[in-house]
Amino acid sequence: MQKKLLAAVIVAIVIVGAGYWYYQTYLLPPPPPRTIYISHWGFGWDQIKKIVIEPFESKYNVKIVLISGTTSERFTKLTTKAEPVPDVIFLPDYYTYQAQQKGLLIKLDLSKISNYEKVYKVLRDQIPKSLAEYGVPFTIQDLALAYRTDRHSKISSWKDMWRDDFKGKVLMPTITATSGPMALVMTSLAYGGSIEDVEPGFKALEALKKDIVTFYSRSSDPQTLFERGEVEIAPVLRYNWAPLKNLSVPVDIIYPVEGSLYVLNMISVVNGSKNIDLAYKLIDFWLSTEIQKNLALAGVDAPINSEVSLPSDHPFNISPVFNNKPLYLNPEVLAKNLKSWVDAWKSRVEG
Amino acid sequence: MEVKSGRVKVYLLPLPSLIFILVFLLLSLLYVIFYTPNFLQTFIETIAKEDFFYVFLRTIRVGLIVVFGATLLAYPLTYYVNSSSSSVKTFFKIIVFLPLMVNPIVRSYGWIIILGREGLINTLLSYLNLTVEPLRLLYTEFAMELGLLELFFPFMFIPLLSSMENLSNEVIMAAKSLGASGLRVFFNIIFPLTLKGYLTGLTVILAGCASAYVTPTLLGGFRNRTLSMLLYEYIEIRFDWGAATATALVILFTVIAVNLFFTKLGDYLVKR
Amino acid sequence: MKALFFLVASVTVCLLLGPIIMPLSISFSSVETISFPPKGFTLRWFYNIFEYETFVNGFVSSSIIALTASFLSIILSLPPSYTLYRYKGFKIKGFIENFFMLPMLIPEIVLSYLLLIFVYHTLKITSLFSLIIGHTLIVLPYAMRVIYASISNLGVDIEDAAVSLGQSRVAAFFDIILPNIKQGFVGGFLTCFMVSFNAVSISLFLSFGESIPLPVAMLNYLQIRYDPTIAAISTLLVAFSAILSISVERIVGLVSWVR
Repeated sequence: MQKKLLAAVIVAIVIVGAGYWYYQTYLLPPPPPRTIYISHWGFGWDQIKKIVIEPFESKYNVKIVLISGTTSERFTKLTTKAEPVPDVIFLPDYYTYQAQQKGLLIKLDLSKISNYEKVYKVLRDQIPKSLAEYGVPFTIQDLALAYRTDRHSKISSWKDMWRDDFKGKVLMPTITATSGPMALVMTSLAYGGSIEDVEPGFKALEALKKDIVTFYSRSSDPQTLFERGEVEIAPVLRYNWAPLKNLSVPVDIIYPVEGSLYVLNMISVVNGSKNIDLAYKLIDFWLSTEIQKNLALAGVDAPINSEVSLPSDHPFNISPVFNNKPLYLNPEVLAKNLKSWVDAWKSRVEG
Repeated sequence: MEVKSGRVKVYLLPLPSLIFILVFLLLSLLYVIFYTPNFLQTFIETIAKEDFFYVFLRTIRVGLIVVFGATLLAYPLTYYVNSSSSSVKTFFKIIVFLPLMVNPIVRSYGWIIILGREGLINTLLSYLNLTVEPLRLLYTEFAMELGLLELFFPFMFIPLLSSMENLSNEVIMAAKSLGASGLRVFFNIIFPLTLKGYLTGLTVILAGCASAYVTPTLLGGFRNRTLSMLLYEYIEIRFDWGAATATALVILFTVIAVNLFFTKLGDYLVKR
Repeated sequence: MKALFFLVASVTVCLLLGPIIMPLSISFSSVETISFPPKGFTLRWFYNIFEYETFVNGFVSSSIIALTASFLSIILSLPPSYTLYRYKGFKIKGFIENFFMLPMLIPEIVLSYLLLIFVYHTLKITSLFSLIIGHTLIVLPYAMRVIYASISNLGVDIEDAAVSLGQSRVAAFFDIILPNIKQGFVGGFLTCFMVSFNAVSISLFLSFGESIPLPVAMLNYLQIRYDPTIAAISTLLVAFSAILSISVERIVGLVSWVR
């Protein structure tokens, strides 16, 4: 009987040990000597990998690991210092501001980033001083309206979302998506408010409530919902343009006459990173003309490098933004108001 | 019975397992509460919010509607199955059991295929020329309730069926021979005698609706948030740990309260 | 009357089986969206599954977690079951029985949150072990129920006989009791495995880093695309579950472990 006991225990240990060994060997390969962790949305990562990551990895002999998720998921993980802690993090500017306020980012020496000079001056200059040294903009996210052209006549104004033919077919971002606060501000501007006074925006959205199908939180939701015919009009950001134009249903994207509201997405280096030198190189690489151009042509991000020129009908040609009343959404104002806007939105709009 | 313990004191045996539960269940619960600074204040602030109220109300409402749907289907079905041959019984037991083996993500995905604007129902309706435009079925409370009904129906069916099985056929026969109509037989005989099973099912459904996450998220969306979606939101989106703890506790209290209430109710009603 | 029952029965069958059959039906469709009815025939969604490392890794991760959790929960159930079975007059017997049912009382999502804060953030236990702890807790009541029922059914006489013939209690446990509850053991193990494999909320909250369980991998994929790849995975999972549950049925009666 003792033998049987021994046998049973040995079998048990072997099973658990085998499982653990398999896990360690095949699922958890030990990282190579130098690994950089990047926190990014993950959207378009297949192309990003080919264009930026793999060339960088082979040039500097490093391994890059992606930590993906929505802005708020990754921001939360940053604040709670959840493992693995990223070296480099990609965030919309108003989140970069919040991270900087919490002391989570390193102050950057912009002179070490040679391509920073090539970023559009008009965009660079608008970044608040407190933020400029903590995040480097790598793309612009401007808000536009997408709609089904086969089912609706032309739209030109933000207020067209309230049109009768769109009843029950509107898609809105949730307040915690990048486009959420932007949609709120845009609505306020369209209905007589301002970036600080969003009450007209809330009132208009409350009136629209029953016609909103759902609120999207992930980068790819607008495309999938348009494709499935669940929605027919939605505020979208620049990164949705290329996928939206590639659907099996005809979608057009227009700038509302009220203006093109935009935020800048930024790359920052996380405090405590042991790979600061590599981080600088990565940022510089990401901003280089060639990479910015290839990322744009691959449909990933609009180029912020002024040396990149794209054909005029390319979805990432952002010169129309500069021509159509561009409005920079000040990240300091946005970050300060965010919490109260979230609370109000959750009660009044999402109900 | 003589208790001869060898070197190992037998009554100490359950100790490791008890410690396991104690630490990871109860200790963590206490820890989470005390980990929040100003807990009482945060708790009150969270539940006083307007959107918390809507979400709470919605969760209860959804739970009750799902219970209603389950009752409507379960009673006739269990009665029918109970009075059928054993092969029919086995057939239904398998059919009801099968979904429990499948992931809730898969089941919600199935509902998306059925309820989407290009899905089964809309395609059927437009083929039969019953509708001009596809109906908006997804991202509604209705879709969520359907999904939850499918998810929790087995938990009503199984206890109710075993209660039915314990019901003596003769009692029903006797009542019928004394001239009671079908409805009276139901209310005066079947319902009271199967109450225990019914209340078990009802409790599981209500508790389940308060804590299900995947199905409400995929089928209801942000417009129709339930308590569990709110909890997820506080943790992963609004990063508000205090509010998350408060919400988690509300879910816990609700489930325990529902359990206690219906157990006591069942005991009380059975006595009558 | 019969017609009414037939109606209710068919509605119920559609309700329960519909959402499971739908993914099966479009997993072979050559259309990229999830519209119905499916058109064409292709196996490319199945190939797609294997192109995504996360799905295969997810399956392995989920399996390892489920195996470990089932194993642990059964091990944890044996000593208490034995004690309860031996001590019929034990005063706190009822208390212990209910204590083991505690994890069922706590909603999975609340449990996931508690473990996230306490185990993962505070005790700094890795994601994998946090998941194992969580899954073990969830599955423990199921294991306990089965094991306890099996041991109770044995009756004390067998053990008494062995002891009176000279065996020590420990030896008797391994020689006599364990082999006789083989059925319950296997049935319980498989039940625990299925429950753990399908537990989504807890996997959602506690998975970080590279080894994410299958349900989380599926949800992440659903955020990017709604193509029938998920339907293909669903088909495979249903087949997998069917095979496992037929095994349970063969070894243990179908509904015997359900209350």
